[in-house]
Amino acid sequence: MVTSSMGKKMWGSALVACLMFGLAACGNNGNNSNSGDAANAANADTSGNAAANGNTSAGATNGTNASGDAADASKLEPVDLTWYYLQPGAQSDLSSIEDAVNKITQAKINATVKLKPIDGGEYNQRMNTVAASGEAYDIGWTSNWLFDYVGNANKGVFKPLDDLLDKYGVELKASLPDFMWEQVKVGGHIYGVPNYQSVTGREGFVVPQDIIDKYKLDLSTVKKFEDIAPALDAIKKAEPKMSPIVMDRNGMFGYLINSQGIDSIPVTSQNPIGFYNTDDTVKLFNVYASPEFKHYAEVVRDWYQKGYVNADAPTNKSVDDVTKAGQGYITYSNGLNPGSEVSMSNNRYNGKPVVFAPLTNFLISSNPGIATVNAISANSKNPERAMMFLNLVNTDKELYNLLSFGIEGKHYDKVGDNTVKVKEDGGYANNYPWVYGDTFNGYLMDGQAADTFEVQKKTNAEATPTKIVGFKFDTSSLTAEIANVQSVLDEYMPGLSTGAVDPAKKLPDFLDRLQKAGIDKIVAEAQKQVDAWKASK
Amino acid sequence: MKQTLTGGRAVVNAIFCLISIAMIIPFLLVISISLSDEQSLLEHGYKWFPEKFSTLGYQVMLRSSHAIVHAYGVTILVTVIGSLAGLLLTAMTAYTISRKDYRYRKPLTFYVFFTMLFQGGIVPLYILMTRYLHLRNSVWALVLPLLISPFYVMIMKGFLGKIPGEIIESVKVDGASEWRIFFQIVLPLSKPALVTVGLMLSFGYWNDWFNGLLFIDDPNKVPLQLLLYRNMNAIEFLKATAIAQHFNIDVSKLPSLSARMAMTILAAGPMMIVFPFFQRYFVGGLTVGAIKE
Amino acid sequence: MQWLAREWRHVKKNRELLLLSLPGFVYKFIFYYLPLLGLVIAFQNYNYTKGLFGSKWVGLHNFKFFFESDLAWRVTRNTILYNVAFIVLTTIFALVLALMMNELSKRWFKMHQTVMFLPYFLSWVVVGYIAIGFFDYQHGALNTALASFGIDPTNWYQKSSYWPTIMIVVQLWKAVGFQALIYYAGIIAIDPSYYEAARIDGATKWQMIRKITLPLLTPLVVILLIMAVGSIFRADFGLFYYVPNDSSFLYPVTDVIDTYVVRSLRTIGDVSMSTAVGLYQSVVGLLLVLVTNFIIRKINEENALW
Repeated sequence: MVTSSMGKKMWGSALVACLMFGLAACGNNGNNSNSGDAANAANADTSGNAAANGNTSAGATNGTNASGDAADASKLEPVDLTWYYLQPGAQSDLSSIEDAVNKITQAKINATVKLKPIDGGEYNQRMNTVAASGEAYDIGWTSNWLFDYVGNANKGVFKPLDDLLDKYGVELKASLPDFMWEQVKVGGHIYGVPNYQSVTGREGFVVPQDIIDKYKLDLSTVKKFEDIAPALDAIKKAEPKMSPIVMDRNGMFGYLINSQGIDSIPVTSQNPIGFYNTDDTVKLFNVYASPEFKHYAEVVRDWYQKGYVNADAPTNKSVDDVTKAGQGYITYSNGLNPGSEVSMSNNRYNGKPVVFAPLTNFLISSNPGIATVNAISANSKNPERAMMFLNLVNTDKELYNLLSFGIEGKHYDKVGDNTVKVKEDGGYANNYPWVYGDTFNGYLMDGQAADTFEVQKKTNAEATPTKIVGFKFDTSSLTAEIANVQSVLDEYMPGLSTGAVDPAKKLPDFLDRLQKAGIDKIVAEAQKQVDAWKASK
Repeated sequence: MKQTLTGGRAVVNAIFCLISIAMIIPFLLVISISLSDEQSLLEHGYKWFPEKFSTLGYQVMLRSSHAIVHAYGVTILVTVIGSLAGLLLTAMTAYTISRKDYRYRKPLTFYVFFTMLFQGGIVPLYILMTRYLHLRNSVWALVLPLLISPFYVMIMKGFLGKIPGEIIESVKVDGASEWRIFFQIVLPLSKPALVTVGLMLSFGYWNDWFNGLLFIDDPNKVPLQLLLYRNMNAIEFLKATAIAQHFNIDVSKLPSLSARMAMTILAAGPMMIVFPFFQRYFVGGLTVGAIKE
Repeated sequence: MQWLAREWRHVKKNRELLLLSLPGFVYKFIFYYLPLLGLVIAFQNYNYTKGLFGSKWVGLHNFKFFFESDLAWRVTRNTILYNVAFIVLTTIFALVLALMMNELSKRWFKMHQTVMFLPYFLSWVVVGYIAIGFFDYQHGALNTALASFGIDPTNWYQKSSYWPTIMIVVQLWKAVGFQALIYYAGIIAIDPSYYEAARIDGATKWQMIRKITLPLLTPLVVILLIMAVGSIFRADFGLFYYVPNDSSFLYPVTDVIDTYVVRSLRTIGDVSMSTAVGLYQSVVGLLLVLVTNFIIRKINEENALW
């Protein structure tokens, strides 16, 4: 009750509350406070801002190619940039990376960069605080799964980059396919530089090879998710103590939604609205009220009762832990990309070989391009130089590889033409090359096939994009409804989507509660936005 | 009389033994998990004795010994400074509001109590600390936010209120200043209270990681709990995010459960050793009566 | 003016005590009262670039999601019932333990007290894992024990009826040791001459506890009680999130305001809305404290906080 928990309790709610202080904080830089509209502020500000900061800069006046030109660099006033980004754990030798980075950046754009990596577990908390406090940092890493890109762009956290890109990021802009620039547009403006990488997904089952051999399973007949049932049945009959298929509390529905003919729009943790992926009119509906979901719930209910599914599925948090403990076999995923068999087998099956049984083609969901983005802060004092830096990171392979892998001989060894082996104890083994820039500029990691990048690029080009690729749902007018829908989903989905509860009893309840929570209002608003977005195309 | 007393003692002792067992068994589980092989934990569940012994959890948590030594140093420094300064300020504030003849005692009590109910939150604090007080990367950023807790002030007030007014009155008549009364009479009389609140303060400082997360970038100033929390997080984060698969990260070799338990032991251990040294103040602490003679 | 002059005389008279309380006053002002300005965003549609004074005022809009939800009643009820149970039971158990501690021989005392502190060092996350050690379907201690009696395993995390008891036991397990220490420190500070006199009068142990120890502990108990009442609308997030393992089957009996808000807002991350609920919790807490303090003052002015 009291004593120690008191303090934590307060911190806990404070954590959640994460309040803001204010004008003093956010207006201080002067850049945005007068115009209010951050979207228009940027172009007007670039020159004015430069003057205000005492930049004599030739580079700023004529928007030519500012990077890679040492002559230009000397005319630029020296500046210091700050870059917040994601990094796993502390890397003890970060300072030598920073020194080497600065050697390059000083020569090319006369800037130094202060690297400020933050751990994944702290990233949201820390960056939300930094953003809300109005701190004057320059570049911040953002995404759709951590420190939300779209939401923060709408809240005015980032600077619109359209004009900065045209002036200081010409090479960068040309280096990425147009499709990627479409992905990062929010309300018609570009707020971040996407880090180009594999953007596809594919739905289906993951089956360990030994099971296929043992039970002579024929995966070629598996076209829909229910087609796996005979395999499950065969395993269950032979090994009654095993779970033939392993689910966690999220169930399979969301992971295999495209294979059931539905495309969804990201709104909450379990996307409640979607459209039929063959429907050119993109008519949205509540996916949980669809016949497909009812069918799915009935099928997995049957599976659960027959013991195909692990009994603790609706409370289980990790599929991997169950399969690694050897208590279950078949799993599912929506990331069956070329080359991902190796990581899947390591992460889930202790390195035992696996086979994919895909249910769909390679797909591109609405916004894979914002999975990793670097944005310039609206409070940056040197946005032009920050853009020059981003241009450099994405076009200068030496700089990019330095950030991704460190210094050769010290942090990694070359084991092939373009392949490196990272030294685990070298003091810089960060494993996240996709945080810094265009991953196709980088080295391959030991174990990856030499043609990995070519295959990924080819898959990117050939995959089927969803009909709403690039569409972003602005949910700012629906916060109350989304919060309430989220809490209903949290309560019903684990039971229904794993088959632990009877859909005949619980599904009507669930739909009724969704209705009350305002799902229809979300569908209507999304439809309005999708229609407007389509019209603008 | 004497017999019933020893009989009573036996019963009391027995009850305490039962309670202690209830308290210790889960703790043994923590120690056992911290020393277990991750794969055997997955396969056989948690056991009170390690099925398959492994110290990998500790190795992961202690992988950068240099940083750990630094972190212990920072945490000890912050705990000592914070507990002493916090204790003094808490006692000063609590003493004044416990004095029934202090005119402003009720408004001040409410003023302090109010801060327990309403909190401005993290962002205002962040702005205050980084922009106005310029305390980023300073140990003071770890000390100041936890200095005076309304909770401890109130408890201290409860203790200090018991000091008989006559004692204070009699010294006052002798012409002693309030400061002298506080330092020379009140503080020595309140050792059990000071130790209790001091312990709570020091536990608070020792266990704090959140202020470090907000205010410390410098790797040499990271407090212990934050360092352990980060090592832990790095593992959990890799395991929890589906993104790991997407980006080809092999998370299979990371021991998360045993590492988490190892972290608990590493973090709590020193305080568990220090604690008994304070206990003598509970057993034989000076009491009001003893001083009055 | 006259009033001011009189007040000035009072200030001068209380000068030394004022000086003693000044550092605490100033500290609280800087570190707590100034940041309170941030609470106004509960009434705003907060925009990061426009800041506190530029953001649009939206009245009570941010409170809407909570009060319109059909779960508001359920989570509020759970929060209050658990907290009342915690307040009553922790106080009783801690008092009894503290009184019994006083009877322990010194050798044992040290050991027991150290052990009773152990749970205090475990974070709720770790306690959550310990709970899994007991309640896990496959390997949990409980199911293993049931199996040895030939009873089928139970899916504990899917059976809500057991959980109110489990939550209370876990909370007591973690909190009682610490609170007992506070009470014990209160007991040993009691002037031994009271007991001396009672013993001469031939009082029994029980009589001494009832007539001396408990009355003298009352102020401390009341203080802890008032503080607990102030946060009766707040639940310990760690306890209610990690111990039930965030199992959806247990929400009807374990979901409290704080866990509900965190879960509902995790996808939209709206600070204005979470601030709004926090403010609501604070205001209700304040009202309850004022009422409690008023009642206590009516009963015994000495024990009231102000």
